[in-house]
Amino acid sequence: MNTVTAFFRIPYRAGAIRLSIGTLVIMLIASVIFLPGFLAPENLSNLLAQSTVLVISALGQTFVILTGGLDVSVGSIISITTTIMTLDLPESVRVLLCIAVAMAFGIANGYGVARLNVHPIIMTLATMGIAQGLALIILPIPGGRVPEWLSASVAGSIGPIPNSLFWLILASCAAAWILYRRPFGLYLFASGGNDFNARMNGVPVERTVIKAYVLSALFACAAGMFLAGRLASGDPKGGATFGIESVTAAALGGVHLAGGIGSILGTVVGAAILGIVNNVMNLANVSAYLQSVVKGLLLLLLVVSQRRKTIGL
Amino acid sequence: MDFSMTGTKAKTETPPRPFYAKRVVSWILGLPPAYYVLAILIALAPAVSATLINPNYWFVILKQSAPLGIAVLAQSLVMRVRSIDLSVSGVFAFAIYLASSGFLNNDPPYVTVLMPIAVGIAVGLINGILVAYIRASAVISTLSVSAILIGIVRT
Repeated sequence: MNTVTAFFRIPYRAGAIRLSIGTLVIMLIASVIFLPGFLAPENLSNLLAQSTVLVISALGQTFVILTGGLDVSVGSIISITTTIMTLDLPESVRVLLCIAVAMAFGIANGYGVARLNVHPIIMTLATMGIAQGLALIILPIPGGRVPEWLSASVAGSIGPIPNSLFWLILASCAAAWILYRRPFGLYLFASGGNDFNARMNGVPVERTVIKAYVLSALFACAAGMFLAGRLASGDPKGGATFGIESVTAAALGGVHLAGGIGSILGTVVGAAILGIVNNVMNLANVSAYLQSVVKGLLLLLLVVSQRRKTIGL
Repeated sequence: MDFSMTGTKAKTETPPRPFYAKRVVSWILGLPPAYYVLAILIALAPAVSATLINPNYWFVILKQSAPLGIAVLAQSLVMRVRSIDLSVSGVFAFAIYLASSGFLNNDPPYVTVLMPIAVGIAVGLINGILVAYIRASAVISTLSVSAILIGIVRT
């Protein structure tokens, strides 16, 4: 229960979260008024299923951005998870293998960034290439079959509520619990806010950074499982866009890319904004390229209105 | 105060060390690792494929990698100030579109050259103002500028 209240209260160090929530509310009202098909139950469940992958991967990304880093390899980890789920192995082995692979990539990222002092973008770009290559080796073309229970747990619904909502709530509650109910969450804010001060006060900065990357990879693994269930097959390039989209979603939700400021609620709101923009423009039959222009303009508008103290990433 | 002054003077007056070999070694060790990787690749190339020794093939590689090299030069300017410019690909696509579509066919040739440059300057100015004055996040703002440019090109 505590976790739930922590999720709904405006948390500390949340950045420009009120702006994001305001944008989301305005967009919801506008789309309900101007688009008659928006509130139809099929469209809402479709919207949820579309944006759950983005939300889950963006939650993982939030941990990394809070430390002042950036994880581009999220997309490839999603892809490699969907391909591993189609392998010809016992189902429990597949799940364990997915988690092990994701953890290995997370540890590699974290070790490179925290101990070897590689720049986060370079390090995760490198592991992104490795993971993408492995995914294409495992499954060169989209196809294969995922376990029955996985696609059932994604596509079905309990009563009127689609299952993807449960995935979403479960993932965000887990993230909120880690960030607001564990010492690790406090360490994250501390080491992202000021590396030196955190070290002086006894925060294990290196270990925190490594854990953040591992968490990001694990959330990406969960997002990949959801995607595999939704497609009911593997896709070696299915997650390619999520690497950068998850960063965008987190930034829309007021998470500072310099580190130390951000919140789980903000990330969920940011991902929801992105998902609703996509959905509304698809409903209104806007061409895919014009959509990209509109999305870019919206992003610029939101980012410009968030004041920051320093110039930086 | 006096002591430190004499100390530094004594230090500056020491004659240059004659160990040139040592300095050469340290200079070589201080080179960026990319040089070593390039040297190893060039050394290994003949073992991989015989066509790689052919100088004509080198020019093919050079031609292929020239655009990337110029883009890297652009990116390295931004990276010097600890920032990043993701809109390079967008400007790239937009310049190609301006130069190759029939859009500027009726104008003299120099317009075809100057127009992409002007657009590039304008985009760069927008990015710079966003990042430096408004202090927006460099990743997000340049990414969205890139998305806008690519969207304009495709429509």
